[in-house]
Amino acid sequence: MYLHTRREFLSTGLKGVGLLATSAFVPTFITRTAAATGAARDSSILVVVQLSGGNDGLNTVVPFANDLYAKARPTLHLTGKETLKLDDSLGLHPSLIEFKNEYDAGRMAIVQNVGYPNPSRSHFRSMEIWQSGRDENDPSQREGWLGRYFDAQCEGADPTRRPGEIGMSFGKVMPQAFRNRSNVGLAISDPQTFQWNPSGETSTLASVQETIFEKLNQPNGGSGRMSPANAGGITGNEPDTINFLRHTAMNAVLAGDTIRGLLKKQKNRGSYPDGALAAQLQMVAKLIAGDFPSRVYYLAQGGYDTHSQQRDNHTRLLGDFSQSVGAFLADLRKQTISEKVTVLAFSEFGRRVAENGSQGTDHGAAAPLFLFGDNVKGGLHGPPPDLADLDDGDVKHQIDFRQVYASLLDNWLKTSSAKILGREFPGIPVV
Amino acid sequence: MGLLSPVPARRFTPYAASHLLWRAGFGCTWEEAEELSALGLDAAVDALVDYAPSGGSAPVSEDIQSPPEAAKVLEERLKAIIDEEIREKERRESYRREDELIGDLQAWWLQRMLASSPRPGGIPPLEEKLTLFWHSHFASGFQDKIRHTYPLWRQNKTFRDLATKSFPEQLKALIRDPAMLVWLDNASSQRGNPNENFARELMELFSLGVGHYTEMDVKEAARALTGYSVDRDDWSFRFRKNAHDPDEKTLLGQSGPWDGDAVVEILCAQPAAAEFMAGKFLTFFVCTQPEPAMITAVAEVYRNSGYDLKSLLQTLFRSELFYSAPAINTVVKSPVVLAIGALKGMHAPLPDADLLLGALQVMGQELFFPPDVNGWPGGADWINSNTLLVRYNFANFLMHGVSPDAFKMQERKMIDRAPSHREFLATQRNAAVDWQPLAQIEASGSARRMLSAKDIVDYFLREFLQREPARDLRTALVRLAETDGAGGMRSMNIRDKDFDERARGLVHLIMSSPDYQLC
Repeated sequence: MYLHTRREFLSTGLKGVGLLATSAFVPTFITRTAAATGAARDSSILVVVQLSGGNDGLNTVVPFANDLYAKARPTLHLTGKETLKLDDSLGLHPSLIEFKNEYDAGRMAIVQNVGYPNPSRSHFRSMEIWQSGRDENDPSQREGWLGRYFDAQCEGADPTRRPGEIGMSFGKVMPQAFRNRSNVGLAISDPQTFQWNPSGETSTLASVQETIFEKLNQPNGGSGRMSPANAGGITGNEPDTINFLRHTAMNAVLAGDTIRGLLKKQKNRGSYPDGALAAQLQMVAKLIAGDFPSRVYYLAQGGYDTHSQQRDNHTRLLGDFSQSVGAFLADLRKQTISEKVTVLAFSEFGRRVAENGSQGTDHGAAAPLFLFGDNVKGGLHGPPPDLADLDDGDVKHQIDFRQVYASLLDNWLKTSSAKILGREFPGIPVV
Repeated sequence: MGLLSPVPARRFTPYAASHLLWRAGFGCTWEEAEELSALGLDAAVDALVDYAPSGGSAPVSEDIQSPPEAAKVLEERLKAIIDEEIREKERRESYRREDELIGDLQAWWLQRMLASSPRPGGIPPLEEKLTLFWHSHFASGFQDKIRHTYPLWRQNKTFRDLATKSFPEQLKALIRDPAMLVWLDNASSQRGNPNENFARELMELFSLGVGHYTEMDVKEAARALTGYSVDRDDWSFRFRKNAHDPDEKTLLGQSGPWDGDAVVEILCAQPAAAEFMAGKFLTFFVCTQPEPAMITAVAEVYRNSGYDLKSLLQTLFRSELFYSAPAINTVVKSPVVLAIGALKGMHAPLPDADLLLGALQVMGQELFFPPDVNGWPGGADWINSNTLLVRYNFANFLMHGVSPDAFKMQERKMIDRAPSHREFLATQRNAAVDWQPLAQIEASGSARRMLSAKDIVDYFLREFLQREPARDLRTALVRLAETDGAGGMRSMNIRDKDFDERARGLVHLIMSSPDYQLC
């Protein structure tokens, strides 16, 4: 059976493809999708929201009753009255209205004082640590924690029967967290440009061009998977390189078609705010509703590096964050697919306890992180920050972020976290 | 016969000359490949490697060539402004100015790469390529700490001036490079409390590689480098004697009152240095994953020449290894090489700089913004689902001026500063490149040989791919050249009115092939 091109794939649809799954000549996306569709309905999905720039944890989950807090922040502190109180000593930033509702319903977990040993105050380095999830000097640090999860899913599997395109990130670059050896994962900045456009003036010429494009980018055997020896770098073996490129191209084109199709077909329920994060979450909701085979979605909201004039900026950022994620969760609930989804929100570090001279805060260390979903164990995890015992002016970490990863990997994504993270981390009961 | 023994002169065909120009430069026109081949291997390699350094300053704008307003002057000036809103506006303006200047510097460098040519009087391609190599090897970026264009221009000039010089000379310049000293926090490193960042990267990433030094060596080298600092008033190198630790250190088994130059000498005396750099040169110029035997052979030549890069490249560019199967068409073009090489094939000037810079950013290589101190990883890392489609869409932009919004410059990575307010030019169709294939054919005198669709396909494959095409690639393109837009068979003909349009469609497909991503 000869069914290689995008058009043939699209006209046949997913159902007919099962027959083909054994052919080494079929683009992996087709077979992966075919293999994954059956399972998609009940598989668990992780949505990661990265708050880039270093979110000020102390003004997000506010220890208003602690005198040291107000003392360290003469202009920036929030009073208990201003916050959305969680208990007698802690309150959420006033713009986190939707999150407060989630919290009250037991669907939001706040893990306090999350960080790692010897914290780096470099955005880059700290983000790298969070995204790789490995210890410093670990040779596997190049890969991302989610990328290693993808690899574990692909490992040992017949390359033509690997699970579906299991990770999708929004943005122009693939996050380091996705970096993997199996050449899976999508990075999409705009679904409309995530396609190859023919240039023909007439539709017939355009269609001839498209056919030829598909021919040129047709995987012709091989797995498209870089062998472990040359992942991240190619030997002088040209056919391997060419196949790697062909697989990548065809998978991207097919995924782009599928994604655009689903975005057109599926509907969101409820209203979302304006803004990039909300727009991306709207797409994620549609893709999940349409059983797109991705298990992990990765999004980022930037702007948290509030060195000066923090108050208004932070209010705006957190408002956008809360409204967007809140709308997303409400949408999923209305579509009765919220059980499938857990959201993790983290930032590369918190900020210093004391405010600086520009009514802002500088790079700090440990901070709270957040999980949302029907399956999370809601409430506060871990003690409030100890502002009397600081490390060079920063909150000390009490929970390693990899403990959270471990729980997500073991209990939510159902894979061995020790393998992904390089060693055992005691999980914390968040999912 | 060793890996590095010279190939017979007869093997220096135009294809081989093109291979040399893609690796030692940024691609070429087919005519340039033919001319270089006609020179013969020895003369061709000499012409490329033994170039006269350009000095590299003109014609970069004078604003870039003078130090920025010193931070304390800026702060004084801002302090005098009473209205907070105006003050913040003024502050943002000074950041915006730097954003513009770095854009100008990026465009200036791309322009030099595009203008580089092996022809007499041309900008030496190897100078630009080596400057790019050193920019990625000794990577410093505008983002995060430097945030000024002037020190990066200075650094670029240093890399260019010393591009083919010896490794110790290069390292001694590096430990005095203001941009690097700020980027890796050495500028504030004090005796008694040395900052280890620069000392660590100096060993780990710049000279030896992990495993060839201890944590104690890092600490001792950091002590030796204290006082190597920067005068922030004018971004000049400054040795702060009072901050320097003059006491005895023990570095890699040798004790003495070492300073920075002594550190460089000690590092260069390590056997690991030549091996480490040999791997880097091979990865950049020859093949993405060199075998141990290749590294050993190159390291030996490099070490024996006293780390003289010029003589190493003289040997390498003549070698069996360089023209062997593992080296030919096996390297994924970096975004900059892809873009500049394509423009060279089109004989085109630099298109709208903002769009080009935006496209390069999305493809993953923004000059002066390396992802981190480790530079661009290169190889297969250039390719993911997004970047590959962006490369293909970039071809559509070059051929038809279709530029997706994605090519608009992303906000600069100045996370904690005001976003760039740079005005982006319109992105409508035909905004940028106006390529006339027929005019190019006529100018080259090839028109009379364009008899069939096959001739036309072969012409464009030669101009752009510059190697024997895979058979299925050529067959597919011939099929396209023989099919007209109305569903019938009408072969491309240079006398037809729609020739240019069809030729652009053909080249669009050449560039939308996996083959075109390799050089």
